[in-house]
Amino acid sequence: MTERRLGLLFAVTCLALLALIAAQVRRPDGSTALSRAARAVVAPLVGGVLGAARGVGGILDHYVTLVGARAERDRLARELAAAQARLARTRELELENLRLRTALGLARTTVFERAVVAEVIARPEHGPYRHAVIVDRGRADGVGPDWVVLDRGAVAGRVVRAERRRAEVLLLLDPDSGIAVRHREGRFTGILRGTGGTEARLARLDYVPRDQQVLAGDVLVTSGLDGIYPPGLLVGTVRRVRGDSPLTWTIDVEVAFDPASLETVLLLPPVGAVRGGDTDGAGEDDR
Amino acid sequence: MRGRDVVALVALGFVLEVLAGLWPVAGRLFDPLLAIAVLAALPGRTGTAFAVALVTGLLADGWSSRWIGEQALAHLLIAYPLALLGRRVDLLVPLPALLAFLVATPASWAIGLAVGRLFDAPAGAGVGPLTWAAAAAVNGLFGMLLWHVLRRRDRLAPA
Repeated sequence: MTERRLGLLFAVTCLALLALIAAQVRRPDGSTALSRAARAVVAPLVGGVLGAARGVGGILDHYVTLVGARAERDRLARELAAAQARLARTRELELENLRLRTALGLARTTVFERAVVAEVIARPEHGPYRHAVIVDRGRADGVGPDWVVLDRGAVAGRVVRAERRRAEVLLLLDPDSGIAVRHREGRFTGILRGTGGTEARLARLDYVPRDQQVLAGDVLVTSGLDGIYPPGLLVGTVRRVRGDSPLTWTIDVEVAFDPASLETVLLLPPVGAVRGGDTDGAGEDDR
Repeated sequence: MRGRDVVALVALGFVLEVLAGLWPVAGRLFDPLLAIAVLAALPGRTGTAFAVALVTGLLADGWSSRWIGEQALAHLLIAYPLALLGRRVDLLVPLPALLAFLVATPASWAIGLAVGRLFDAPAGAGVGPLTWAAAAAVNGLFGMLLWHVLRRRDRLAPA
């Protein structure tokens, strides 16, 4: 063997011995260099396979997520549109509520503070009015003409004559009665009058322009424009809409109070009297 | 050095190695197989030095080494360069031979430490310079004894 080949053999043998030693060296984790070398060779292959698998899995995962996200987006868009519609409606209600609060706040701070509770003591059979009642409060209690009469929160009528211990109340159903009302939804106003007929709880609202949207069941409240009734009080609901005139509607309204069961009522001073500083408001007779 | 001499020396070295292992202190200091590998390298015959070093190293590994191949590597790294050196320098005279035997054991231990460091293996019990010197002296004396015997029998001849 030539010296050169022997030198090469020497080098190869030394390397082989080193590899042999390395294969036996055990690390603290119990692994040997041989197992680590095997892992070093295999790990990239395994890593590549696992990476590819993870990549494919990730793509599928993203696809599924995207599909889910699209459905989620559509659902959220629908919910957002509905929420926006509800929000718009809520804002309208809020404005309406503000208007009503303003109206009621005015009433509470002025009219309702001077409210008087009265009992219905008679129903006149003879007299100038078809629909009227007598209550047991009069000028001695501060009650005077145009005092508003409420029955369980709904307008029943107004005082037309006050005596010392009693007062006569003209109900909304009487043809001589008139009350300024407002359509709660459409906000248009008009004068509601009693029909005086035999049909119970029926009043009429005339001359409502045909461009107004009115439906049965719509609510009418006091507008306060007549200077008597505080605005915002419940008056009645639309029973029927009739097109007797080519330009206007005639609306039959069912009043909210029940004349047959009138017993205890609440008397409020008229708005005009309160605004004008007339705290007494008593008079003998105005109609 | 004839082939039969080499075989006999290797066999003798293995027997002594086993016997020295029965006594811990002797087993720690005495390394007859390494001395025989060095002795085989002194004439400058690289082939013989390579073979003897590999065999003695593997025998030492099989007997007492922590890793198979560690002593073989040490014996090779010592004997083969020594044989190369012996081709140019006469190592068969007393002083170079003595130096070779004295240096061989510390060199073998150093190679063992280096291998351990290379593979980040936990270090064994530390030994001081006195131990190193004692081992070098013991193996040097043993090597020179063998050298003397072979020299007297005229079995050592340069390559």
